[in-house]
Amino acid sequence: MKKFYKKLLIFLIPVFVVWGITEVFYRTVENNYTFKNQRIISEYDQIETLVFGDSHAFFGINPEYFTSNTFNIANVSQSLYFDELLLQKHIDSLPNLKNVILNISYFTLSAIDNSSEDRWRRYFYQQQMDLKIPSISVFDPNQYSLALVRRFDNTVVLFGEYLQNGTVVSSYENGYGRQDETNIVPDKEKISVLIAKKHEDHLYDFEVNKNRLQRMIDLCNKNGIEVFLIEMPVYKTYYNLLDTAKKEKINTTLSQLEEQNKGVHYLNFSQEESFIDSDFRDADHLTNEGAEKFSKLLNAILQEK
Amino acid sequence: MLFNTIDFAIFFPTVLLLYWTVFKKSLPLQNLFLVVVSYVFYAFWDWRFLSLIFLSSIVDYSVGLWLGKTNDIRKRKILLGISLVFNLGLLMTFKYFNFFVETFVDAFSLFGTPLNVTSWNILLPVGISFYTFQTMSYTIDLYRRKIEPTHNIVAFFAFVSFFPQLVAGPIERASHLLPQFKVKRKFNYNESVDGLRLILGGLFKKMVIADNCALLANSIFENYEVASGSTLFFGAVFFAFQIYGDFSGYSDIAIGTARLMGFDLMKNFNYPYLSQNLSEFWRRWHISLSTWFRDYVYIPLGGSRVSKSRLVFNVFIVFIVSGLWHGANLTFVFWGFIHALFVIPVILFFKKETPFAKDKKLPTISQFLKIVITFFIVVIAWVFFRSENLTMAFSYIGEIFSSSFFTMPLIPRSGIILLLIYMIIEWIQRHRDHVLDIGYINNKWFRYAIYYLVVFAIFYYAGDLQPFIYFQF
Repeated sequence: MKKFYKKLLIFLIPVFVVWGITEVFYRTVENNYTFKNQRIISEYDQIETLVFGDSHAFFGINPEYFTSNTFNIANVSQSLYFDELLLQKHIDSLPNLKNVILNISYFTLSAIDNSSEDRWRRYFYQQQMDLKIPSISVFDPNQYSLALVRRFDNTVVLFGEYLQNGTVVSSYENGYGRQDETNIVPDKEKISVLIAKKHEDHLYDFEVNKNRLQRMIDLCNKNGIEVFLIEMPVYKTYYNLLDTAKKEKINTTLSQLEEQNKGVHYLNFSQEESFIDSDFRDADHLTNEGAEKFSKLLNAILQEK
Repeated sequence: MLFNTIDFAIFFPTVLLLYWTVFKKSLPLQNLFLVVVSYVFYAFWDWRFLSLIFLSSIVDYSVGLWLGKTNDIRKRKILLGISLVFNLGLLMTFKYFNFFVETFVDAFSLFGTPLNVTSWNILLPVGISFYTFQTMSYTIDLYRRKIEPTHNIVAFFAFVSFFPQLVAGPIERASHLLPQFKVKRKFNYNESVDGLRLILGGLFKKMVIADNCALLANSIFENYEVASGSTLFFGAVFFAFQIYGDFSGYSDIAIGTARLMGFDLMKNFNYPYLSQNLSEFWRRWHISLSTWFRDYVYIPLGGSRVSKSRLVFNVFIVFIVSGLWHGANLTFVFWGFIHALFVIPVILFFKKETPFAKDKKLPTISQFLKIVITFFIVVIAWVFFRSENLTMAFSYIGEIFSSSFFTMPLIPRSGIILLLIYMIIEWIQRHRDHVLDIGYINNKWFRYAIYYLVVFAIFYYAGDLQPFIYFQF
């Protein structure tokens, strides 16, 4: 038996070494989670406007074009679930916060907690943004190893990126996402069909996320903060392919929240006509130029309010 | 607790270490330890359903004791009836209640009498079809006097709840597994190494083959209305490998895990996609279930020693019940029906089979064609298994048999290449115990290179974590 264990351990040494290297990589190399967490903490006293949301907001709202001191804490696939936890964590430390911008995408209100998108990310939010994630139990061993929660092929890609660029942070100091200028999809009609299909979840139950939004609004109201619920510009074909009934339900839900609450503004830019083909990187993300245009537009509205 | 999670990677080595050290000296303690850890293993899903396993164990243990005490035929029948009614009652309540209520309501609606009956929201306990069948085999074999009743309650509880095969089989027979709880297990180096190979091969099948095929199959089945016949055909092929990798992978891990603890579980899969006809397919696919149905349903019905018309009837009964075992839906019944349809001609007309020669590197043309035809039938039948309802299944298959079958499929080539490579490996290993049974390779470094390649593939090419399909049965 000793021979068996000895041989097994020797066999597993390379596996443990790779695991260890990956763990050290995730624990020591700065990434979007650690970077944004560190940036928001260092800017606590200055931040006046805070941007939440998924990749649409991350790559679409550039604080540089805001008059007020703005920080973008949005991230790729960041659902309202994490937006709420982030708001709860930081709001008391932001004495000058006046505006909260919440990006609502087509799938935001119907998103299910702990979806496959959230499953690995929640450990990074917990470990690297210091959030208390209710869905992670104390007995969940995954919380002790970030190397094990992420798919290994993605880790290898990230590691390659680190070796090539010396960083895996894809965000500017103000939280706005760095875009690859060369990565602009030429055929937006075709990508619109694919993305619209991908985003069509056929879910109409908004109750959980509507309640979540209400809690976030209540928290902001309590602190005298204005809330801006925004739908960002998207490519026309993509928009037209989405379920009309669901779009109407999103519109009604957000309008109701605006009507029923003080200090809430619902702004629907999804079909804003001033956005042309070249403003879009693909079906639902803006280019740097598009983001500049949108951020200026949003800033003007914020100043009016 | 899933085998392919970090939870199990912590749970099992801990159990194994305690099993071979702290509890090694006392067999009763070792068995008790197995019962406790098996219940903990199951509790990770839902601790409330532990009561069902406990009740099933206590009922069949007691029935077994009483069966051992009486020779009165009438009493013995009553006792067997108690066991069958209890276990099938559990299945009926938790698995089939809504199916029968809904079918009943549909039937009445068809005759213009709509019934206002509400179905219940009943949770399906994981593995209920497996452990109830396992305990039923104990009481049926006792009734038939094929085995003696056990007086060792801990051993019996361990037999019913043995964690490697508790939730998805192999469905063991008491005559094979129960005696293993009554003798002192000895650590065997070679068996343990092979157990590890089984676990590694099983993880590869599950995480690389099944989970990647699942992504492709799901996207094609979810958008079947807009896909071409050729794409739909490959969608069904991907599902065929998803369910194979998923279930046989689980079985391999279960057998390997048990082997590391000194137990021998029955082989559940034997390269089923190399079958040359449907009858052979059922001797290679989910062997523990097909032999269960053979011994406890087919043979009691008369088996093959009956008239041809009765034989046809018996085969249909067995396959339809087998379909229903998989799930409470008409799609499963139809899946069983199709298999029966193609098994019957083999039983009636094609007695002679041509096994693969050990010394031949390739199959003969005739063997190859038979494999392809059998695989095609199996794939088409899987469409019923995967579809949400019969309308979807017929519509899906209708498109496969349309002219669009001859267009270029919209599928990633890498998926097909992966499956082809995997089938070549299975062909090479066809006479071996399992796909990673490579102990015969003398060159140690070559063997280790293969192990590391498999480990790398599991980590690098693993698809997104998917639940095991057979847990729902």
